[in-house]
Amino acid sequence: MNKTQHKPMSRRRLLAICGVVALILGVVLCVVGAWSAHRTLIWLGLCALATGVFWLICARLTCDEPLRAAQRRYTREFFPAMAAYVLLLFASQEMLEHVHAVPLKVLIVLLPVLPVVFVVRAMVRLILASDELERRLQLEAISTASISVGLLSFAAAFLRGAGLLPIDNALMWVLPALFGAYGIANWWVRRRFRDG
Amino acid sequence: MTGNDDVHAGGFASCFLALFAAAESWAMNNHVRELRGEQGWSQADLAERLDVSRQTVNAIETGKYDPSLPLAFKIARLFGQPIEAIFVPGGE
Repeated sequence: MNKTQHKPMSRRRLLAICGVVALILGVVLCVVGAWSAHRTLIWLGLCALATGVFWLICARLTCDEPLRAAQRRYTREFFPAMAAYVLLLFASQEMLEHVHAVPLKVLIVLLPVLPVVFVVRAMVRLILASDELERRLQLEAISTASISVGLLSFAAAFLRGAGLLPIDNALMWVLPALFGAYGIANWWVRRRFRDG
Repeated sequence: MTGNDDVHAGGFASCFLALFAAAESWAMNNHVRELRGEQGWSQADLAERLDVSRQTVNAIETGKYDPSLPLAFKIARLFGQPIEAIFVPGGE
């Protein structure tokens, strides 16, 4: 409560920083991709630009409150793990071209899963450090996300079986869809507890 | 304290749950906001003392959420009052 104390980072500031970093990364990736004629880099750059704009919009809309200790810890754990995931994802693709032994290939293919384990760990630690209302909201968000993604993947499996959904490697999208659905559901269930 | 679960007010999850069970809705009233005002604390100050988020304090004060018994006792102890002096059943 000491006014002279260093003010902890707020959610708005964190989102704004992430947005600016994503925009810079997006521009760099697009320029390097265009220069080296690497379509994947351009695609990633555009994704980073879209994410940056999304985060900056979120920063404008979110309340300017300091992050709690558990949220600051989550930030410290989540972002390095996600950065490691992106790096390992590309490194593993490059490494696969030079490796022929099957056991080593399995190891390399599964390498990006390792940082995702840390992402999940960070999320679990955040939930465990939440208060009772937050836990209830998390439960509602997770339930909603799992049921929605479960139903969607169930429907997609039927479409795929009938040859009407030409998506390869569909299982790959389950976890990102779960994370995305959780984010939307989290925002949705918190609406009724907002100020005002 | 079962809480005034906002089954009708929001959330797909609540809708899913409402498909299977009719939730009991019994809102509680409380004097947390007045007591906090008397102490000159902000919502953030009270949240820090109770080790909960400011949103949780706001939800309790506005009657959108009824705290669990342990949290209700913690609030009562913090303000030095009996629990029934702070939380009263809705309609009283």
